[in-house]
Amino acid sequence: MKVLIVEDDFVSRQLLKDIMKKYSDCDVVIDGEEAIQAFRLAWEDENPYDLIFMDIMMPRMDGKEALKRIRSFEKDIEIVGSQEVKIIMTTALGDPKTVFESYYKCGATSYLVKPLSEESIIEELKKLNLL
Amino acid sequence: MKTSSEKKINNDKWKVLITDDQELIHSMIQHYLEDYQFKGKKLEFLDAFSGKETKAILNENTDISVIILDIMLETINTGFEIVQYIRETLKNNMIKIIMLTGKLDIDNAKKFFMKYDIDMYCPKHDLSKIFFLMTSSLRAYERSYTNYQLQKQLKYELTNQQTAKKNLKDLNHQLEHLVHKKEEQLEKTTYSLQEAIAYAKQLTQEAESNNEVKGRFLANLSHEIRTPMNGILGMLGLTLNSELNKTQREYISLAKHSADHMLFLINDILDFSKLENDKLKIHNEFFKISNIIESAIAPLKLTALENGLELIYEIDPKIPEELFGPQDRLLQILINLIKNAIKFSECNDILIQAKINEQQMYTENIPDGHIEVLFSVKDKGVGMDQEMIKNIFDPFYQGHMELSESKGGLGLGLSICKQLVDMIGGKIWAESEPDNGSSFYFILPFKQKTVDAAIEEKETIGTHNTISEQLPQTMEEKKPKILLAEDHLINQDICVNVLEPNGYEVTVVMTGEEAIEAFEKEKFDLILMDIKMPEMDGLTATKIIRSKEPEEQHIPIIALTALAAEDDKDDCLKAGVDTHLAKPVDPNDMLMVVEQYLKTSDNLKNKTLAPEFRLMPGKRFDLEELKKKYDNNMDIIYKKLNNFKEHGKVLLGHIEKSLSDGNELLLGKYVHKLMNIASDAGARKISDNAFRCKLALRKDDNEKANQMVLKIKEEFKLFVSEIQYL
Repeated sequence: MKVLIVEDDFVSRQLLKDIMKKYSDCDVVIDGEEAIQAFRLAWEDENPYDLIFMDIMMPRMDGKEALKRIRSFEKDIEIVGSQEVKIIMTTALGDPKTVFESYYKCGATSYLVKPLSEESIIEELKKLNLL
Repeated sequence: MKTSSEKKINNDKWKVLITDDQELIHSMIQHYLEDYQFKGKKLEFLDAFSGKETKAILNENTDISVIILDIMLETINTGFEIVQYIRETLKNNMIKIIMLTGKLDIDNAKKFFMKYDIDMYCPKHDLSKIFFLMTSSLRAYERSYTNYQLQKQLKYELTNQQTAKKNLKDLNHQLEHLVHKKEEQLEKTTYSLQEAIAYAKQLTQEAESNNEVKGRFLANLSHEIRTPMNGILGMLGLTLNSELNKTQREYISLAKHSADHMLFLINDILDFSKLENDKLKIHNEFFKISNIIESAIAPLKLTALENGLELIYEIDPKIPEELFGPQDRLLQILINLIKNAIKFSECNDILIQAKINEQQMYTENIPDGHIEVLFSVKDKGVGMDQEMIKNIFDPFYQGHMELSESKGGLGLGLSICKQLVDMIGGKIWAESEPDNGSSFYFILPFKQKTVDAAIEEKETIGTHNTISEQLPQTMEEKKPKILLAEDHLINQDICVNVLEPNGYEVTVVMTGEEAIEAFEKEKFDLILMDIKMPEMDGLTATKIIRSKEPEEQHIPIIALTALAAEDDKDDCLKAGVDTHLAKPVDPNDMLMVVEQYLKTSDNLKNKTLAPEFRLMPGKRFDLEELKKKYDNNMDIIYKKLNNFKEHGKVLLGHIEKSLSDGNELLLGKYVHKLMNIASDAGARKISDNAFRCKLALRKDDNEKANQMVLKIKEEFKLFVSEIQYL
């Protein structure tokens, strides 16, 4: 499994990377712009990501914008359905459910609320048939 | 009217004026009319002997009823003149006129009689007739008098009527005016009301936007607080999963316990604020009631044990196993109540119960498939008096101040419970007696399993992690010498105060020339160069220093500049500055950059010159794309290309060096910088590979990073050869 972690907070990034590197080949980027570049390059290398953890609040380009661009990139290269990368939005927002309705519309697969734990991540990955 | 006329008649006598120049006639008439009465009234005679006298009497006595008038007085026509005078001048049409004639010119008289309404005449030779003539005259007079009175009355009535009409009209007018005024007032009031409504709307909008701002602030606050909490809890979790000795494990566990508690408090505050702002949403989903109660107990079991008590629960078997409702909120309420119970219960078990609510709140029409569950949390602790029970659900209220302080908490838990229960449409209350424990009850409505449509989403907050890794090591410290060229005294102070305590030796100069002088005299490890200085500016000084520098040496020069534009940066780099710091300089940034460049210069001391690139045509970049990016400004494009050509070469040298040194941190920085200048110069392949290299470095894939660096080197050669032809 190839995973991309998009997270601006250093510790959160480290944490997620340490959890995920057991299960996957795991790249880390620090904002939405890097996420898009990494996503594009992975396709150019013909080794696309299976899963992206996308933080929502980030500098330069936030998670929602990156999410939209990734989906539109996929559309451009005719990637549809199960071929699409799974994108789990991660957030420290207190009341994520309402917020997330808009993310689903933009193409998010699911979401996790911080603080993240290995259990919650694994549970989510199982739900998405990634483990 | 009759009464009024009679009254007048009764009071007076009938006034009769006799006008004749002959005394005899007067006496005769009076003789004939002696004892004469008409309607019980006697006659009163007034005597006149000339026209003049007659007129005078007539003027004085307006109430004369009958005048007996001789035609011939002073002149032949005086009688007629008097008649004319009576009828025309005095306009007296009431008075009855009896003409006395000796010899009558009938034709003349006829006209005259008709014109002046003369009733009768009496020949002087037949004065005995006067008796009858008087009667008919008086009758006529009375009639006309009555008529007159009637008319007067009528007139009066008419006037009255008119006045009344006028009054009515006035009243109407007033009324209209009033109505109009009222309408105006109403209009005004309506307007004021509309204004008030508009204002209220505006206020509401403002309040809403304020609330929105508040809401956004809360969301941000939530995010900002939880992000470091994520780090703290996560790292503590990772540490706990690594090998630790007993003491370490204990300390870390305590730290984690505190962090968990803090997260809980933060969540409480956020929930409370959200409830206050009506921001909290209720999500209904299917759940098992036993799961929720167990979930509420699980995290508190340990605390309970520490307090020497047990949490016991009972669930009424009549409650359907699966319910539909706000399970997360139910969990939250239960946790708050149980925590509260633990806080105030001493060594006595806490009983949590769930029963069907027999006396349903919605006694009349509870919807089909709905059920009300009565939950209770009972402790045998200190209890509460009536006053406390009354206030216990108020925010920030703490019943047992002395206890609360030692047990912690914000006094929000129960208030949140109450607000949540209210929101869900339930009911919460407490029963207690001092020293006899407290019982908290709440009733919540749920749907039963039969109901379709479920939302299956779950929020998870967890804290356990299993992998451990060290944070990156901090850089080693040196004691280098720094030359600071800065004319601004305060800035000097700031720089010195930042650098010296961090183990740097700082020499301060004020101008570019002094900087060059100092550079020649003494060996420095790094120069901080202000760009704007008197006499010689920083860029000129930098150029001169670079020209005096021996080939194999390169002292890092960091420009201090308030200029932030890209072009100025380019100017700096062209002059030979390594990097620049924007003023006002952030102390941390300065320390970081200084540290970084001191290391770079260490690496550079042993650098070997890169081989000359061979010229080769190819297609490494897209000029058209660059033109688009820089608005066809070829100057900028050349600048960017040159910048990339010059500094790319240096950077690649740095990159190779740090790669062989295994300094990943520096390597990352150089690769990042290379990526940026490559991207600016349209060297897409290089910037992409630099990015790939960055990703590889981040996951410690050195092999791939190496590979990428090699690719970049090749690409760079091709790129440079290609731009030679521009």
